Amino acid sequence: MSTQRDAERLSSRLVELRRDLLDEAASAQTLARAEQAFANDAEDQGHRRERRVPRRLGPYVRRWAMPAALALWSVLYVLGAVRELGRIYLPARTLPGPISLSREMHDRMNTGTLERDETGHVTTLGRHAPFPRCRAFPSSACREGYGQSAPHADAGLDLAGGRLRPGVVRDGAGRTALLGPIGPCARRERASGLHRPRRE
Amino acid sequence: MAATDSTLVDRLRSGDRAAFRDLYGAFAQPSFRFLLRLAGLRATAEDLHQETWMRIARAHRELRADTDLQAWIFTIARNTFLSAQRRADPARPTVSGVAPEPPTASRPWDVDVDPTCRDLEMALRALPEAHREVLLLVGVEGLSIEQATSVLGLRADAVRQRLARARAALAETWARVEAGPPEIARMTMRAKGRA
Repeated sequence: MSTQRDAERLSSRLVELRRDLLDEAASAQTLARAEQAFANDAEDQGHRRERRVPRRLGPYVRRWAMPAALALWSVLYVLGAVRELGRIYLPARTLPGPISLSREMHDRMNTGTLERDETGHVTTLGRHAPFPRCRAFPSSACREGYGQSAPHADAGLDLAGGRLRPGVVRDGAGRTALLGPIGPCARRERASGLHRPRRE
Repeated sequence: MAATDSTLVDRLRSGDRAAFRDLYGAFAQPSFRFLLRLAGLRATAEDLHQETWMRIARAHRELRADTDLQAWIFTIARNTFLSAQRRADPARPTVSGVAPEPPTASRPWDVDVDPTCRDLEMALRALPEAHREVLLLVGVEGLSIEQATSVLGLRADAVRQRLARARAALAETWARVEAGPPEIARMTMRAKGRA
């Protein structure tokens, strides 16, 4: 019984130790510092929360940036390849080939039995490959100038030493004009003054 | 947990400075009492108290909605005290109460003793640290066993057992202190042997 009473007395005495021990000055100093730290932390947290919205896009951008760039590059690559193939092959099919003579006509011309008026009947149009290679762009041919006639020229042919000289046409007044190549090489030569049309 | 605690926790998490002042007003004195009777020196206790509240100010974002504020604050205060002890003596084990303690006569004790409670303060001073902290938490500050469990990081059974031993040791020491000063050293040795 006395033990019970001692325990209760001890408990009540322990509660009596619950009194203020921190003086006002030290308490105010601690509160000021801690409150400042609390405010700074809350402010930092606020800034972090404001930045969090655009940061949400970050993972998506990081995840899809490389695939999107690769897809865009692939599309551009394929389009470029198609365009280049089309530029190489489609005009060759649509452009007329150079004018050539059949073997029979060639022989008759050499023997002088071919009349001038007959040339329109015996000439044949055929495809003559290859075109001369462009010196500046070996992968492409300077074919634009060949096989095309000047707007003032007729279908007359000019023979030099029994061989057809390509690009030389005769107009209706009997004048000859040289159709030089008009591809990139010709443009460059024209710019540098190397290309001089020959007059027959 | 009381509904007021829940409200206060919500305000603290939202960064309300008034809520922090309310928290300080409610728990500044209890945390200082606890630290003062653990450390024994007023200057040390004031430093520890300031460090404790700086930690609380920085850790308020980690609060959960169901956090028990009283237990949380005493946990931070105790961890601050243990960290300071380790800084002062790195070889000291982290588990309080296991380390050999200095004799009572050389132990610092700068608590402003109320003349009516002088004998009890002296008896507390003579107790080992493990007994002292559980008595301070449950006996003086009025924490429940569950709250003391979370502060001390022990199971509830261990806390109850430690509390019972601490009460017995305090009662015995207190009786001897009331009897006279020469008994204190002998009682201190007995209490350390039980811890």
